[in-house]
Formats: sequence, structure tokens, C-alpha cells
Amino acid sequence: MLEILEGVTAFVIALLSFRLWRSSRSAKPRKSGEEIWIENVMGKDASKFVPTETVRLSADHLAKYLERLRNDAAHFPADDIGKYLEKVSLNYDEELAVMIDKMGRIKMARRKRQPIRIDYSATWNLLGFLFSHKMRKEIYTPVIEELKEDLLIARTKCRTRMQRRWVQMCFLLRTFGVLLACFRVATGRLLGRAIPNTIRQWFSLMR
Amino acid sequence: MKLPELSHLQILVLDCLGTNKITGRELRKLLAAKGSKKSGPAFYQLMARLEEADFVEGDYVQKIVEGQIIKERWYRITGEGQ
Repeated sequence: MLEILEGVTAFVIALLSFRLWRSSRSAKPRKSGEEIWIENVMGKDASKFVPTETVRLSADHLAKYLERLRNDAAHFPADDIGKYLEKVSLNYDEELAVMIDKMGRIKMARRKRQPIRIDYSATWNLLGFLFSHKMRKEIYTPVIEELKEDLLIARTKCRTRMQRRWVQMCFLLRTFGVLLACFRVATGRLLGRAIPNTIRQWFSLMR
Repeated sequence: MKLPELSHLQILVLDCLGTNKITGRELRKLLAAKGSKKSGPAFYQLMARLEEADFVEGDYVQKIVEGQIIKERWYRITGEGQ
């Protein structure tokens, strides 16, 4: 029994050692932030570079960076510059501060509209199944289509993350409002069937 | 006394519709301007009743907003409604 246990332990240790050895062989040496910067930002393929850590620039690279900003301000993708600026830690430099401000403004102006993450269309479609087919066709769908149109129009006006979140929240609340109103109408329909026609007409005249 | 078949609200809707073909949203705005503000579902329930009674005809028309297809509900009055 003890022998079997020893054998199993040895096998597990061997397996773990082998996996450790393989993973250490396959892992590529990580580049420093500065190396990535030099390779991508100062090099040719800037568009593919997404900084993952803070990059500290030496005086030499700072000078190159300033030069590049001066030369390429008009052509360099503003969104990419924005990404770099968020990650780059630089010593204070008045000239650079002016450039950063300028690029920041360009970035804001060129910022693309991003889609609202919640897939409202799918959610709305699924919520529709809470109601009967007739109710869905006659009441729920037209209301939701109006809401959808509003959302699409609101989306065009969202530029910052905060704005998008605000719109998301507003439409979430509106969806709840619509659902509640639909439930109220559905209940009214159900009750309406139970009430005799004369009383129903009298009630609708009173409203 | 025989009760009328239409409520005052339904008569107001038919009046707002006139002879035009208009969207549900516009019609709701017209109603609100005339002092009968209704929530979306309540309004469409009202229209569904009018449709059932053959006073109004409704259909969906597709339109493109920001590259996406939206189905808009359009209404027009029928001969019976006039």
C-alpha cells in the first residue's frame, strides 16, 4: 500500500516538474516599458501598440518624443496619442505640457462614438415574451420601437464614458417604466373581459 | 338611453387623425397638446381598441435610424371612422 502511495507521489511530482520546466521554456522574456516604447512608438508600427505599464522616458527619448509630437501632431492618430499620454510618466516640461494639452483637445474632438454595451434590442425582445402574442404585437412592440429609436438618437450624442453610462441608466429606468405600464394595461385587459360590456362602456365614458 | 359607441378620447383620436396617415408617436403628441396625455402602452391600447372596432387602420413601416431598422406604427382613419 505504502509503495503504491510513494509511486503515485513520485509520478505527480514528476508531472508537475515537467509542466514547470515546459512553461519556463515557452515563456518569452518580457520587454520593459521603455523597450516597447522605442520599438513601437518611435518606430513604425505605432497603431498596434497598447501600453500595459507606465513608461518612464529618458531625456533622449523625451526629446525624440517632443520632436515627434511637433512633426506628427496633425497626422498621428489622436486616440493612440491619448493612450500613450495616459500611460507615460514624464518630468514636467512646459513645452510638453502645452503639447499634451493640445493633443488632449484633439483627442476629445476626434473621440469616436462607442456603442452602448448593453444589448438592449435582445433584452427588449426577450422581455416581450412576458406578454401574450396579441399584447406584444399591439402594445409592447410599438412602444419598444419608439424606445429603440430614442436610444439610437441618444447614442449619437454620447462621447464620453460617463455620458454612455448615464444614457444606459436612463434607458434601463425607461424600460422598467414601460414594463410596468404594459403590466397595467395587460391587467386592465384581463379585468375588462370579466366585466359586462355596458359597465365597460360606462366606465370608458367616465374617463 | 343608448350609450354612444365611442368614448370622448376615441373621438379626440379620430379628430386628431383627420384624413392623414400619421405615426403613433406624432398622434400621441397631438393628443398631449389637446390635454390628453397618455403613456405609450395606454395609448397603443386605445389604438388597438379603435383598430378592433375598424375605425382605424394601423401598419408597421420600416425606417432606418443610425443604420438600424426601426418599425414605426402608422395609423390612418378608415371609412367607418370618418
